[in-house]
Amino acid sequence: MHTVVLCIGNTLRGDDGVASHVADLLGARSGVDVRRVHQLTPELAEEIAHATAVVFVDADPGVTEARLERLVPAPQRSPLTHSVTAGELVLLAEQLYGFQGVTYLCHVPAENFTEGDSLSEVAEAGARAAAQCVLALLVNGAK
Amino acid sequence: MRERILIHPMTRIEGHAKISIWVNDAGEVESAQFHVTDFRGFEKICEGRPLHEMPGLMARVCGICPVSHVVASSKAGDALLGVEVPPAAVKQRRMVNHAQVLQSHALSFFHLSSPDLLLGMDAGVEKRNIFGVIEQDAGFARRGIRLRQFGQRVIELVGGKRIHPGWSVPGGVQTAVTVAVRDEIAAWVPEALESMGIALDRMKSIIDSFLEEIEHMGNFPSLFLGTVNDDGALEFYDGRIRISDSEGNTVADGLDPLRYHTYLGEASEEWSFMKFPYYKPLGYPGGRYRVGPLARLNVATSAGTPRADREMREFKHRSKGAVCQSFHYHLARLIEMLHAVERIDELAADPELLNEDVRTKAIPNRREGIGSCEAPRGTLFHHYFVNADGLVRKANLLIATSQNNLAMNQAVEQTAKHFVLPRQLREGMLNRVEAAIRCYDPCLSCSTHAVGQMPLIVEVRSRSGELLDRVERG
Repeated sequence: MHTVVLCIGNTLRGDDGVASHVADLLGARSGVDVRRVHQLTPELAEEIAHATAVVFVDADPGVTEARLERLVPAPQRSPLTHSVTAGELVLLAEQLYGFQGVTYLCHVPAENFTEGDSLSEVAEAGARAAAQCVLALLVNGAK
Repeated sequence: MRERILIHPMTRIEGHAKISIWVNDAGEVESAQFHVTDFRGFEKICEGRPLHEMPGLMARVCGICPVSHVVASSKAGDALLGVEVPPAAVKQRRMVNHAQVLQSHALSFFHLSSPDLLLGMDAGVEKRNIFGVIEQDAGFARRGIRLRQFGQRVIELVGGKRIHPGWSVPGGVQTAVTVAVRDEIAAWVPEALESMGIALDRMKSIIDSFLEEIEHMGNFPSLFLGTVNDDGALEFYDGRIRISDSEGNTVADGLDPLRYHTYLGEASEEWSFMKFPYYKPLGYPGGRYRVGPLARLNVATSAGTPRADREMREFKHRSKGAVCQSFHYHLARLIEMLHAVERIDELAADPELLNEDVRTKAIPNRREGIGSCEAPRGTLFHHYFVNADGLVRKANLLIATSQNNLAMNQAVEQTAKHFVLPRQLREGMLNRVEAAIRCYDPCLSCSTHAVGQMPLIVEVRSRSGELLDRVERG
């Protein structure tokens, strides 16, 4: 069992960096590779390809509570630039490297995306709840 | 009464732009314009910042070519301190800049342009993306991803992180390279060289199926500008500026990049946020010049590395004078990737790279400093003025993409005139107009990223607003 947790966001844009805070809360764990990434890029497809489970953690201004859900790989519907969506990245890993793991997306509440390295109260609380969601998944095992 | 075909947003480029195609009463394309709708304002943000912060701040200008901004900014800082940078630090900066050229070009070629090149300009828009490429040749797509991964890994190992590394500072860099890092980098090289050979062979095998695009998609005379070393070979970190013309003649040589403002001017047009740089002796817009891979290969007499030299000799035979076809930016990009891998290999083998003396510290000793280097898309200049406390009073950034602005507009107009039939609009016609821009791989947003989920809708309307034709995608 090898799980990759990809915490996505820019730590200099307020709550956009909340996933990095989730990574801090998760800490180091055996069999779990917790990584902070500024954005998702195509080459990450190979780096998640051998995982049995991948959890994407990202700020989401559209939720009021931290939420973990299965991620369904999405066919590409938009022009690619230098970043990809989580769904596209999983599709790339499947089609290029035969990735067969399960994937989750953890939405972390966020509201302030202006310049700065501090989090709003909403994001602080959301990060704690999100870390609990991910920890529960890691303890109970991905299904 | 003119009509306007609007392509908005442009796809598979970095940033936000639109294209206007103007149609005359006879229903023919009369002219075309490439508008950049991003506004960056980074020069204003710099004001009041300490010069030691500048490289880290400038890394944030761009998510795809941050290293070049870090390097140019650090060099401007070196000049402000008035110090000599330790050789190991110079080698680190060189290596990371080559790594960035590799990863940025890999993205441009494999992800953004190969859908057009492998699937064809008229392929269905639902196929013209990286998944369409995978469907046709997954092994090719995998090699593209690995090449980009190699470049990103070098940046991460030496620069500290893949995106927005801030390890380089005025006076040098912050940390020394370890043996383990050097060995990991060297271990990637054989696979990268093999992949570049395959990519170059593939590109050369399909190039003849694009003869009409080569001839009519941005094929025009212009000046070319790039940095060369003392031997006249490709140079990405430190050298002199050479300018040549479309006949292959050297127009100016040995120009000091620190005096760029004496021979390069910047004009503005009300319909675009991007400036229009030009070569001052020929005025505006006659002093139109191009930068980036095509320009660098045109101005340099050699690559300076064995494999890239062989490819470059073959490349130069594609034309009697300079290679003026914008389409050949793609091939030039691949040759530069090969060159970058060879240079990274050389630097990894250099014992000096491991030297722990990597930074010279000083207080600001000058009030004005300029740094330049070759970024993936062309020559980059950072120009700072500081006060006695080392706080930036004023900054001017001359970005590579803007130096291709006049050429991109010419390419759009030429392509539209040849390929677009306003009364019988087809998506493939408009894709060629966009593809003309993609040859230059413009990076417009610099720090804002994806074009987004917006569909592309092109409408032709009469002046009274009557809808004459419509093409939709997305």
